[in-house]
Amino acid sequence: MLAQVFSVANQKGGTGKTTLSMNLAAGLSKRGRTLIIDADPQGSAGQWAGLSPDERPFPVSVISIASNLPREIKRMREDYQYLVVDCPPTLETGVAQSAMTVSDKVLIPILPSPVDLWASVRLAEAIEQVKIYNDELQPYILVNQLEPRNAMSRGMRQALDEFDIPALDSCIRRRAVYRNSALEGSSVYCMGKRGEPAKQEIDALIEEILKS
Amino acid sequence: MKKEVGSKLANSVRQAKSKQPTDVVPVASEAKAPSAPADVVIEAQAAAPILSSRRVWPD
Repeated sequence: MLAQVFSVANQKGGTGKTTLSMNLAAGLSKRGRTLIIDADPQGSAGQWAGLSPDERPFPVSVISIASNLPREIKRMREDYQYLVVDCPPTLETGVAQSAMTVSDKVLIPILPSPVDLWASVRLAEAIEQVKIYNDELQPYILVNQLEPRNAMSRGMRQALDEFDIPALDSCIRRRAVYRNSALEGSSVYCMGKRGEPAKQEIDALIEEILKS
Repeated sequence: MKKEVGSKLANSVRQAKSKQPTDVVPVASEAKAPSAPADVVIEAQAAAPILSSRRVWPD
């Protein structure tokens, strides 16, 4: 059975693509063989995994692919159950779009802020163009760094209704443990009690995207 | 308050959509140009032994 391919994309930087990719992959690895494909020249996913101590390596391998992404992804689909592609924060190079042409689903992390919403309008257009090549691509918006008591966060659902892309019911809250897990080259699954709420929300996200 | 902020956000998205240029997004250019040889970079960072060729699954 071929791997399911999840791209994590947003042309705006700082939306949490790598943090989502790493923790999503860590969660998926509990369900099946998983690989992270670092398609971002910044190499943040590789750096993250590289911080893990030898006695407790990051549970998912990271491979950086510089070119021919669709071909390499297609090839790797045969060896894994899940592939998570951490896309670069730009649409100008075409790399994110090329990842999406061979993805089953694309997750678009958006922060609860007007600027992030506006930037995502352009990504939504790009996805429409990608669908010419991959009409089975399922895009989903994921609200990241949600602060439930913040009015902006609470107003996000209404704003997301303006997009043609569905928003997931799951959301990721703003939690220090996500940043701490990066610092330790780990995932929220290995952060003990303090990682428990984050672990639960990543698990809920995985359940939702695997069912959708 | 929630409704007011939500409405403002929604209006701003509508405005962004209406001002959206339609010819700025390259269409999967890399996907359509597969002629270059495969170039899988195994080390994400030259200085950091990150990769998983050394991090093999328990299975």
